[in-house]
Amino acid sequence: MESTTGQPRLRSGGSSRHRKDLSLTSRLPRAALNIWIVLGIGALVLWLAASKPLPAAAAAVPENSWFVDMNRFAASAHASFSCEECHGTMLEDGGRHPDPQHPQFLRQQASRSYDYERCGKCHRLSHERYKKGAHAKALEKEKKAEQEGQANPNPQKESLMAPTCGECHSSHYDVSGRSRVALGKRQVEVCGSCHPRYTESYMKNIHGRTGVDLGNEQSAYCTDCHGAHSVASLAKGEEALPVCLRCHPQAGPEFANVVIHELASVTEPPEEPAPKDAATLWIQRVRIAAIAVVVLSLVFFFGHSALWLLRELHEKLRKH
Amino acid sequence: MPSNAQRSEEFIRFSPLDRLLHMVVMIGFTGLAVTGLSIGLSSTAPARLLIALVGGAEHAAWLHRFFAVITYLCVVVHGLWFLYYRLVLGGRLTGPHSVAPSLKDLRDFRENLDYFLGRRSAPPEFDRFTYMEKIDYWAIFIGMNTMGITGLVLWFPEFFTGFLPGFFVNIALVLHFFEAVLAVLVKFFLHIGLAHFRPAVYPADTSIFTGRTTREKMMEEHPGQWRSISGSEKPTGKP
Repeated sequence: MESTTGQPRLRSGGSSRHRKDLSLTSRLPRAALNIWIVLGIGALVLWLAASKPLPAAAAAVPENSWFVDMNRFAASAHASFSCEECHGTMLEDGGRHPDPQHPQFLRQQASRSYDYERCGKCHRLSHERYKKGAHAKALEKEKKAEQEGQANPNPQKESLMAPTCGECHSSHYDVSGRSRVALGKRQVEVCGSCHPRYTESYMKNIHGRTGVDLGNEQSAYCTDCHGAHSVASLAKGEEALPVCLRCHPQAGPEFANVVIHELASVTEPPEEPAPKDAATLWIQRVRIAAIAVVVLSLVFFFGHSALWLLRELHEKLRKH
Repeated sequence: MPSNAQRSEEFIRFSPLDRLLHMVVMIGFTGLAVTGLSIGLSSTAPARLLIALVGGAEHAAWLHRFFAVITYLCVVVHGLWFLYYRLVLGGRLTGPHSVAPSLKDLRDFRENLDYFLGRRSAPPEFDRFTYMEKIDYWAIFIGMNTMGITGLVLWFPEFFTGFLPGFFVNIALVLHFFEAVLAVLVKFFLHIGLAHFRPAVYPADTSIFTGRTTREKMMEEHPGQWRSISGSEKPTGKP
């Protein structure tokens, strides 16, 4: 084989190694190179450094206390209002003070006891849209079920789950003039408090990455597609396409089948079927295969190189 | 370059075109990796910092596409050169002086593993390009085409969903991301590590930038090629 003839040549090559090393080092100043290496490692450490987790999806958004922090209220959008403008006077309710001995006194959620019809006095359009939207319809359904005396299927939860104004907006503390990006980040928190799977999947999508993580205001936030008060699910492609067209005017019908919320999972069966489940499962299978290829390739390449390095080190040490 | 009377005989290992293309690909690949990973790993603090430095995600996307175009142009120029070399100059694209894979690479691989494990006292006699250098080359050449295809799907999803199912855009993103991770880990750590920081070549192998290599390096690292040209003419610039 070639190895027998190759060896003597290689040995003679090895004896000239020191000379070669010196000439190369003199050409390239070692200090400059070391700085380069240190910078490279520094950049790598920076890159891998503390990664900020996703915005907490379950943050308590509306502040449901019965007490109002007047300092924060003074900075809010409603600061110029007197209390009576929204809450009326004590006389309106027959002049009765709520009974402090009542077991539910101050225990019920504040936002659930307010009559949000009053918001419509000023915010007429939003209120009308809300009343036609899916949240209001869900609330109607829940109220009806309660009136018919059905047992609450989930005793851990409040009997009424569907949101009114106060579940999403804080009438005492929300400030006006927030930027589009700030509102988008807030939407991820607010919507995520009830729809965590949807905000989690949104944050893995390019819209969530660029819009929320990277603060790009041209990206679509929750309400840009689903509407703020009208609340459209967009589960059907023909509902979604007009929404896509707002930002992607060249889009055709199939464009609406691009998966934004990857809800299904190959590892755990979904609690409830979601649209695009079949496509999502294919995406995940491809992802698993891709990860396997990457890991196997890295094991091969890095293993090969580690052996190479060890062998060359051994050669150097042996000759010392 | 110091003029050194003792300077060993030099050989041209990479032609000016090779050096230029390597330089542009090096810059383009780094730019692609930095901008692309900043979007792909957007929840990490360094990614946000980098995106803020380039002025937002829209600018990062623009830069990413700019680097993609100049990098892919290198593939096109390289391909045109090969056509010219083969058809007009009548050169050979295969054989021991080329980057074309050959059966000898498999044998070299087995013998090199034997060398790593101490069952041989010396590495095999590599020709002009070792099997690792060929893998390095073909990984980039094939990788730029596959990354180009998935990248185009992500660049023009409206066009591609005209004849592909919608979730192919999602699959393109998955493939684009994981191939990028693989490419960055292999190129930034193994390619740079093996080409420059190995004990035998540390601190740097400048031949891809100067195009030149020495008689000693030829004898040591490409003994097969050295043997076939020693005594005869100098190796020419191309395969």
